[in-house]
Amino acid sequence: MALEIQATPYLKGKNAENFFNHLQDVDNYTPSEKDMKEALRTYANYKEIKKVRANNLPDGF
Amino acid sequence: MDFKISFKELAKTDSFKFQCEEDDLNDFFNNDAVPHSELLLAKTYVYYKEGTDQAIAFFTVSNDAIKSEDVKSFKRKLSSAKRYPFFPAVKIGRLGRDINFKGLSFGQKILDDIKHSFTFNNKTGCCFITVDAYNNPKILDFYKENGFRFFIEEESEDRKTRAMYYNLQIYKKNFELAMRNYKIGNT
Repeated sequence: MALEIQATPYLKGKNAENFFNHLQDVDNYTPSEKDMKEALRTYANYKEIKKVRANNLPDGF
Repeated sequence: MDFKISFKELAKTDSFKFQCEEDDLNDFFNNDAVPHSELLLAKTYVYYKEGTDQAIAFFTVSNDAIKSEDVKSFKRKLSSAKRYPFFPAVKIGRLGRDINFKGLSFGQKILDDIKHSFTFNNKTGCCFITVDAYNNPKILDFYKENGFRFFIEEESEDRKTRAMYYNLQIYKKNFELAMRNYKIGNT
């Protein structure tokens, strides 16, 4: 039996604060040129893989 | 790449060959992936060489949620749409690439496919990707370089995995602004 898929931890204390800080940062965040280029690279990879498996895509993909 | 790739959900009748450097991943793919799927615990998707039973890479995903204790002082600072007791997520339970396809950036491409698919093509709300990354520097660096963060910053080095998350709202913002700025159509 392989290692079980782990439960995502319930966030408490400092870890919960860090998570909410992150959410707040995202609220106030404006993408930089680098961030946008990174998103385009992600999209290019998605399209490349999508193209090669376009014949039998399961729902949702 | 001088071969064609196909993609499918792993099924009971499949007999793909897969071998990577991690015994646990090999064991999961060969013995546990189908039973997990049959029990609706996790679905495994395989990229394989077209017309063959040679797997190139696979990933396994399940529904997940990020839950946190109620930190009211922090929640007040958030927009009202974010004051939820939990946030829907998709968990990458496994992600592996066959040893014969090393060096083709498949890990990166699959991660990007998951990011884009769950941001724009998903049928349910999902704002985070979560992952149990193997606790070794190379794997952790791979996820960090792809924008993942630790749920718990300081954890024992003895742990076999580390829980990490990626915020799809960031990718959505970056992508949509890039589309507008560079005047690219999303197809």
